[in-house]
Amino acid sequence: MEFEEMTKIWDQQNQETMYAIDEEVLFKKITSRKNNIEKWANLTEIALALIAVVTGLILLHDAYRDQEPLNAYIATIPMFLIAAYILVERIRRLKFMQKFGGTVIGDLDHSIHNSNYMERISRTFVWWFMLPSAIGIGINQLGQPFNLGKMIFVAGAFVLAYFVTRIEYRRIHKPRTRKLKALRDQLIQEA
Amino acid sequence: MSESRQAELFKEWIREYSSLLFKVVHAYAERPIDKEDLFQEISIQIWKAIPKFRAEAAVSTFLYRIGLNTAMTWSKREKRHQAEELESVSTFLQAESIEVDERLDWLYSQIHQLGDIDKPLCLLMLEGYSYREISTIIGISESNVGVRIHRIKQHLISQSKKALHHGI
Repeated sequence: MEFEEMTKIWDQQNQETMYAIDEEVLFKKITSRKNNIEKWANLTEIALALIAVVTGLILLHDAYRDQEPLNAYIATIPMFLIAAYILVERIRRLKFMQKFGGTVIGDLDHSIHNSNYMERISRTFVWWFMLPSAIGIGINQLGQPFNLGKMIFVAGAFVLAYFVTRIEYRRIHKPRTRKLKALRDQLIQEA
Repeated sequence: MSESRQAELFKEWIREYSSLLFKVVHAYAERPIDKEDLFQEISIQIWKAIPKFRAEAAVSTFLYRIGLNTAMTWSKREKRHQAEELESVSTFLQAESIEVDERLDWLYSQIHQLGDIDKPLCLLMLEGYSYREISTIIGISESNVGVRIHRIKQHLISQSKKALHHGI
């Protein structure tokens, strides 16, 4: 079969489509999934920022109510810094998402950027969330009687958070980024 | 762009360019449930991309780019679909009862066996896009496109000769 014949056979599909689409059903699926995608993509950022802000406000409130010393107020600063960091990163991510590739490679770059972002967030979770939180808790505890149960609970929560983010990083984000980059490299490699 | 205008364009494009999207879906997915899954993914990406469409490119080229990009990064959801193997119940995609040319089936079987990079190039080549157009769509050099396309063509022609000996 010569190539011209293949293109004629290929073009037959323009006359007779292989499938019929139920447009209303498709449209409903798209609009519901579109909303879910946007919701879940933002959930991590908004939830963490909210947790940080609310925790900071609760600590501030408690410090004021109980007339705590200055260190109790200082302890809230890391929480607000965490929230600020998350929001700055979110704004940067959303700004970049406005750009559209224009080519398949451009779209891949866009996906790689998003994947890199998620990978970086989960890989560096210890530094931008856990460490400032631990510092805040440490400052807050200065001058207070040592509470073993509370410390074990907090340490346990930190360890759990650490393992969850490491699993997410290793199982989801890192392989995905690697796959996208490999695809991109294959595309741009000269044949 | 208002959501109603976005919805209007979305429906119009799906209606008018469905054959184009089916070709991509057919080339990348084999099982009916995977085809529907991939078509849905492509449709979602089209929906999201509509507000960013600029009239510099033709709609067909724009949709091809989205379709190929989605298909290239799509992965089959094996586990979810194992339970559904016995019945391929589609919710929005229904196969038409048309007589399919066995040569077209053969062509798709060859496309399925192509590598990740050759597959999109092959689809664009069969669509009649020039090397320059393919280079613009994919984002690689025209010379790279030329070399790859030449290889794909030679491969398809030699495979068709082998298939001819087996009666296709």
